[in-house]
Amino acid sequence: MTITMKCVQGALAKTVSILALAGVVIGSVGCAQVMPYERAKLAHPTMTAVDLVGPGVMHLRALAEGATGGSAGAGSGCGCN
Amino acid sequence: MSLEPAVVRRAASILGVCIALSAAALAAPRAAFAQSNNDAEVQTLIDSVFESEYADKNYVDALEKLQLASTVCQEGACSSKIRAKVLIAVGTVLADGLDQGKDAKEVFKTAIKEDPSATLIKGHDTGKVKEAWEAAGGKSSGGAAPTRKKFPGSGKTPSGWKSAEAYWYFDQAKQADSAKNFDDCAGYASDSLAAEERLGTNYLRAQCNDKGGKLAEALEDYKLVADSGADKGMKDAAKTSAEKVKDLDGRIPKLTLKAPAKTDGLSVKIDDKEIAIDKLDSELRVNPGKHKIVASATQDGADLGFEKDVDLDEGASENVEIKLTPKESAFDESAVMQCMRQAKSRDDLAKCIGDEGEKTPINVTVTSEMSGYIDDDHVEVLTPSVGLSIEGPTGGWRVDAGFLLDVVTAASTDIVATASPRWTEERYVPSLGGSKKFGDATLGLALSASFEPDYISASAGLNFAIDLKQKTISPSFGYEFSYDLSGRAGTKWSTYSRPIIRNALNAGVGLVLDKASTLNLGANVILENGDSSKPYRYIPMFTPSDAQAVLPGLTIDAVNQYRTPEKVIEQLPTDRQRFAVAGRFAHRFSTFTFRGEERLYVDSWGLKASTTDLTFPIDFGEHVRVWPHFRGHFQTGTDFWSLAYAATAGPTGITVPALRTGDRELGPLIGISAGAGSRFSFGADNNFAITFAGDFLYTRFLDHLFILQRLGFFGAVGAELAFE
Repeated sequence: MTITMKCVQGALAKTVSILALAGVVIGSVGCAQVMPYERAKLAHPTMTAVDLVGPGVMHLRALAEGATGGSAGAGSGCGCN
Repeated sequence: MSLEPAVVRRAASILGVCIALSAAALAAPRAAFAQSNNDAEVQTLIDSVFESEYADKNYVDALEKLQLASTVCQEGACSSKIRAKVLIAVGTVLADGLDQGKDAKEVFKTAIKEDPSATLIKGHDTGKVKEAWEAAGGKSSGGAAPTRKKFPGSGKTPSGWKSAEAYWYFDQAKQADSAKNFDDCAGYASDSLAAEERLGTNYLRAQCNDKGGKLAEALEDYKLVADSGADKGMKDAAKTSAEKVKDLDGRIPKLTLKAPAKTDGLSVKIDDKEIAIDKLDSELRVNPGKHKIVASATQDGADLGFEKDVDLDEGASENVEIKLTPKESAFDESAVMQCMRQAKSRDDLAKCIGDEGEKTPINVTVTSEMSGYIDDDHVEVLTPSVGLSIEGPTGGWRVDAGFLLDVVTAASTDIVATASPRWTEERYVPSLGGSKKFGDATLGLALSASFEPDYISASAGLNFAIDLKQKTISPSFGYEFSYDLSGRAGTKWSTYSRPIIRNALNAGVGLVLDKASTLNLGANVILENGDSSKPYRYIPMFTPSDAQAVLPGLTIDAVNQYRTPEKVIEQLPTDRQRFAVAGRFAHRFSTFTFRGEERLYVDSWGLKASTTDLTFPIDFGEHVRVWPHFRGHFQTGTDFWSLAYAATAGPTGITVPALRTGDRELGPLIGISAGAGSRFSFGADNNFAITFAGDFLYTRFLDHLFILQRLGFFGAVGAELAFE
């Protein structure tokens, strides 16, 4: 298979489109006025933005799934059995 | 286990505040919310601060809680009296606890503006507090101390007098008059009149008020004497009084206060003196000079207020219309309170109270986990890991360090198929990271490495995040660079190694959708350059006709029977671009949380994937949490994936596909995992916790040799200890 710049540009264009769409979503829904004293639920440990799983699971996923990225940092996901 | 009553009260008070406000905020729009009243909850909160944090000398903790109270009282959600109490509590902590008299004075001034009748907290009005309070213009706890003497209880009753007390006060008034202490003179005269009404005493009081500049008060008494003096044998006094009435009547200013529209609980004061409502809209006689008119009332539950200063010359006549408007809170006038309101962390709070507060704490968290994986394809993985996190919450910094060891033992079918023996490999993964807050922005750095016998990786990443719109929108951007070396076990790196360079760009945003929901969106691009082909992964080749006939899951024996004799090594493309977008929605219900995540992935090798992850953490009390978990992963194979690669014989020899792989994770597959985890925490602050997690993992290989499916189990036991 040949990797061309056209392929990369196409994928980047898709990513930009998705981010633009996300921007529209952010603009429309991300303006909720939540006062500091109303954040009790948001402050619950299970509402954290980071993954709840431990390092063992994260490593296992990286090995067992061919995909990576999105929300967590870069990982491997190929070349391993 | 038993809980201290104080702890229960503190928890109840905070809970009460939160529940009351959440209910108010949920049930009412902003305007209506401004009218809600949380006085009882805030008073309880203030009381709890002085019972616990302040008593324990945890002054920053006390301020944190009062910060919550001040936040609660924003938007008019408390009465001015309770707002003043919050301010006085803050001032008390500042003055006595933190020795910040100057800041305390400023806060006290604001408190007095909120409620001119406010007093210090009983039992906490110590010297430093009183000093700051009086410097702010506050009255002492018991009100203004009377300077006049009290009737001793016995004394002579001269002829013509009925009351010894009245005479005693009259005598004191005369002495004060002689001493030119006209206020006391009028005061003693009033005390005397309270004990016995005598026109002579009225006349004395009129003279004292006249000399003291209190013309309006003098006029009343002069009128009385002028009208009745002749009948009581006080002809001269009556004559003089009549002249005085005439004189004062022209000199005393007339003030008419126009009553406002219908309101509830109207109160009007001139110079802190209550004016009877029936005297509104009629002429009031007030002394020349400056006067402060203050009115308050409520309308539909909202506090209304009015304030006006007037300066009246002798003989002036003025009308003042009382126009009540929604009461402006002075709550935030104090710089200290503004600072506290805006504080988002203990760091911010510490800045509000200068450097003389408590020593800044350091939070340390130590974690460890032992996880294991085993499957029916004879792969076993044991992964112990430890982590250390040190955080300076007031300094806004954090350092994380971790170490992970993987011990993999494998005799999977693809390994056996290449006649390789069962092998055991170890991987070491140290990591180091840190972050620092700069106002609303956070800058993070992460370093990690990985060492295996045939693979070394080192990476460094930078991350920038910023909180916008009161932390409701938090975009972040990151970049990570990795440099890997792929080698061959047992062969020196200098003899055989291939570099793989990886650049990753990440962008994300965290959104607060409402009081209980968040949405995190992320996207990243990973650009890889380098040959990651495994040097000892041999790909079975078939004749074109046999390749057509091969079925998924063909056994090792059958493959060996039909494959061609050539030993062809794996060859992957030497660059790869990966693109992923993901969204995570989380919603907190009363006792459980829903977390759902979806990731879409595509790369330049043609692999497309969708990953869905659902978790439901459920709290059973304060110390137990259980979370069922489900994850589904679906992926296509890469463009060059083939169940059976065909080798064609030609005049120049055997021709094989330029790209070929036996890496299962590059083929089409479905992975389903389901399980649960639990966390048990201990200690008063839940600072010690043990976690257990287990997942069954089922993989269905859709177009693979040797294997059709795999069932595995992952289990982990973790411990976490946090201390300050």
